[in-house]
Amino acid sequence: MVRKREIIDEIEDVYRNALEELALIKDADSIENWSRRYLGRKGKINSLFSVFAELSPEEKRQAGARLNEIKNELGNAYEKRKEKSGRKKGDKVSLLFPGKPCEVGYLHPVTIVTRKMTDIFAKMGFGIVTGPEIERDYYNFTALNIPDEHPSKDVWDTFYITEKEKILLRTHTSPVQIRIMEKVKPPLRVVAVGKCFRRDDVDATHSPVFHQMEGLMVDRDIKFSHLKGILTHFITQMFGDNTKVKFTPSFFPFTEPSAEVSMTCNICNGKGCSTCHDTGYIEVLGCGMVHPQVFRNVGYDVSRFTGFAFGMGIERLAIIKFGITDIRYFYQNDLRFIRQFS
Amino acid sequence: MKYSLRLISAYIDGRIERDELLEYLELLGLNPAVTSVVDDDVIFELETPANRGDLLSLTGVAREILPFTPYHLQMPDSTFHETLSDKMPVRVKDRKDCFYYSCRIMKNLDNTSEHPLWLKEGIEKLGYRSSFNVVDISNYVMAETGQPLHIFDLDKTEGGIEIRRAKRGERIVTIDGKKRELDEGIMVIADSKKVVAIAGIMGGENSEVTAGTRNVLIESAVFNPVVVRRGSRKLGLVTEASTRFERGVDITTSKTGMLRTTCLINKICKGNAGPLTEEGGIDERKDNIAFDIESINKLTGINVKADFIKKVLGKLNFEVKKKNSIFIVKPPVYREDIKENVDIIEEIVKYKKYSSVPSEIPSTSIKPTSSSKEIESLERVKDIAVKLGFIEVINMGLTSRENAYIPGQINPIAIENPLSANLGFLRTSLIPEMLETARFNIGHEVKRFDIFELGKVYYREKNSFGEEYRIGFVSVNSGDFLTFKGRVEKFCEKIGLKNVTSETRPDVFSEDENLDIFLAGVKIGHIFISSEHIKTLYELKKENVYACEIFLDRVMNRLFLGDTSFQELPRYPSSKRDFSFILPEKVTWKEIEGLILSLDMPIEKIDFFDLYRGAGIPRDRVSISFSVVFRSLSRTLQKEEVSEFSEKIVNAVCLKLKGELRGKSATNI
Repeated sequence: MVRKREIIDEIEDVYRNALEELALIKDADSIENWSRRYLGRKGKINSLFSVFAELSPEEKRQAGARLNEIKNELGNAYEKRKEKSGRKKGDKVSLLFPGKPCEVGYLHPVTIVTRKMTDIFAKMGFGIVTGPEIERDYYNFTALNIPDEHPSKDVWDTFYITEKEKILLRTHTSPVQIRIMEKVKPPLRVVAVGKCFRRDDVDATHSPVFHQMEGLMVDRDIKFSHLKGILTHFITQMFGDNTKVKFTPSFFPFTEPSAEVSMTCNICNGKGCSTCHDTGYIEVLGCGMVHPQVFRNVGYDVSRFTGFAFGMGIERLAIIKFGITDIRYFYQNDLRFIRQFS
Repeated sequence: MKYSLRLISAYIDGRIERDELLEYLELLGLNPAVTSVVDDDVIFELETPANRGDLLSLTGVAREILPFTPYHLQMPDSTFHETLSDKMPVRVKDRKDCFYYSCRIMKNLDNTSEHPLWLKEGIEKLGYRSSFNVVDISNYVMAETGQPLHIFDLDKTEGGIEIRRAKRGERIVTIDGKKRELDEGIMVIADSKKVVAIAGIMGGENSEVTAGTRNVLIESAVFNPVVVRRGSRKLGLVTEASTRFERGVDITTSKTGMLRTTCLINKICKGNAGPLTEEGGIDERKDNIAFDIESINKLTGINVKADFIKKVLGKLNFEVKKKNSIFIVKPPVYREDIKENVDIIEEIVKYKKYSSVPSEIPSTSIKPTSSSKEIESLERVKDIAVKLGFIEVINMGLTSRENAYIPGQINPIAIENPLSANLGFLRTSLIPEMLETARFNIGHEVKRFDIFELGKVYYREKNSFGEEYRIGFVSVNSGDFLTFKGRVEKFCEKIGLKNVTSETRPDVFSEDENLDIFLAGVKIGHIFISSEHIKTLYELKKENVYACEIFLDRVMNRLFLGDTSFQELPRYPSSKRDFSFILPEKVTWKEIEGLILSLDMPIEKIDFFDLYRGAGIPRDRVSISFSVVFRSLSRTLQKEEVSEFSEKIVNAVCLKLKGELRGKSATNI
């Protein structure tokens, strides 16, 4: 009986020691060393089986069962510890292998560019507003001084929901100008962003759906020179301080004088290439001083207030900014495309 | 139309170099695009504004660049002698359709006369194919003056000329050889027997001039632009003439065109001219526009001298008078675009060059305009979705009938004039297009992904149309349903929607594996496992697809409500106990949770973690495992107390829900 007690105690001692030692081990080599000493073919556990000879069969069965249990537990502890240390013996090189890939969320490039744009204007005190995508002909055209049945309306090829009742999908974000001016008295500084629809056939530079940003500033003594100042600041913030900006005359029914703004082509840095048709400049946006008729349409006093407005395509700016080759990428939603932007 | 340096220079009394001309046109925003260089000439196209019909002519463009130069306009020779007395009777049925009509008979044209080289070359530079003299002359004069002219073969007309609306059923074969059905919407020129031309658009084959024509009738008119535009659209026929009439032609120009045409036919074809027949009066006089020289600076920020203004406007053919600092200006009749002082200011600044306008930041009151709360919230919503690992996609929202008509959902809106059938409707849910996005990506070897879209859906309600914001989520081969649901729940929590509940509901996307999401009793969205039918439809058969849509508009004013306020962290430790019960299959989590919470114990939270059926569990029963975290805010809970709580839970679940304890492990955390 005495002998049995001693053997049991010895087994438990070995078990305790093994666990304690394992807990103190710091490097992978020592883990392997520990495993050899305890769990190896000639290790301490196996050597304990040999001392069972002196025990009765029933005692042998009990001690054996316990020893097997301990062997299993130490084996598990070894595996766990090894996993924790993360590598096998002599495996320092594996630290230099690539990490495991992980997934993160992304914003669509239209959102990314929109935020860059609105941030620049928000810092200049512009509020960000919005309006409906299903519009009335009045807001989309008439109030903006675009006459009915006149070729100047042809620029905006329109999707109608019901042409008879003059309900359509807005062709630009300009109707938001009218809606905000109907609600707010000057001074006023806003940008509006959103989806627009034009009945354009799809190709590398046209999409029936696209996004626009519209800007409007109204106050006493707002001048064309201010429009130039604000937009030049915007473009250099967006594309870098070395970007040159050019204003040339243009025509929009809702602004007078009107201008088209171009910037140095960022593909060739203004030297001339196929993207800029060898001019060194690419068009980025249209703008002008708000036409007095538009002010009259919303009840603003044209003798007291002047203002400017501008509009630009978000995809177009993204295309220039990122060097994207085809507008169709934006609505294909190939995740390999979207994951390129952050 | 095409323009050329040499053709334009012919109307200027000085020499203009090629680069000079292109630069001026550039400065005026006409964006010249050079199409070819012929000998010493350059041929180009221009982007002319829709309200500048006068620029669709060589003389118009010549006049436009004059203010940059010291030169003046020289109009072409228009002299001839009337040698006939033949007059064509004309009747204009409605003056509102045709503001002015003039025509002249010319006889005895010599059709063997020489075809002058300048005319042939000029016509080709303008982009037309050179024909015989009469046709080339009418095209050339149109390019010169901007006035569309039509020349009939006099011998093919019968009786007088009438300008009227077509009768329903009338037909004409136009000179392009196409048969055209006419109706009351279309204005025509007719003789006593037949329609001979579609007014302002195209002539008829039945009265067309040929190389052998000896006697002609020249027409120069001013038609109502709206009538021409409607007719042109109705017939799907846009011509050089209709483009010009739509933009507006004036009577003065019309007369100039007639004189020049008569002169050229007289000189080149040796035709004898008859007297002019005219119907309609003189151009309406334009009103004077007064403006203060100061207003230029006020609107643009540049200073302009009075002499400069006089020079520019003078060369553009405006009448200018000055009283002190006030200018009284009368624009020429063909300048339809000039209506008030800002229009004149633009003219002046254009010639002062936009580059001379300084670039300034306004010194204005700093009162900012506040942003829409809605926009701010929606951008924050996107950020939360991204933080949860979703990738943003943006679909057009124009979709097919199949995608738009979803049984039991809102009524779709059809586009009256769609680009194609598969873009003929506005979407009523974000999900169909997102499933197409999923299919596209699976097809492009992206096999496992989570996407979201924030955008509008559109609906019809009786006779009104509406739109609302939604956010959609689609997960493909990314974890199990409860993982997806967990992310949706976290999303709701993070955008400020507390205590969102869900209930199963049959749905079209998924026969029975569908949940409606509620907030305070209002349905705010749905989550579903795609049915086999939907998966087949979108070619996602082998994929594991979960989707969710939340109706953001219905919760817009509850998003991100209230400021975040700090909550003191617990000072006393918690005790966690895990439970596994074997329960009847019909028991819901709501019942279990409700029962435990009703026991009135210091419970911090109950976390579900496993649901199991199968081996070891009787049929009709399930194993449900969860953990309960106990914590008191005022003291450390004793082991005995926690054991007591656990026992209460076990007793209650066993008794009230007919449960059976499967095993209990008691671990302190």
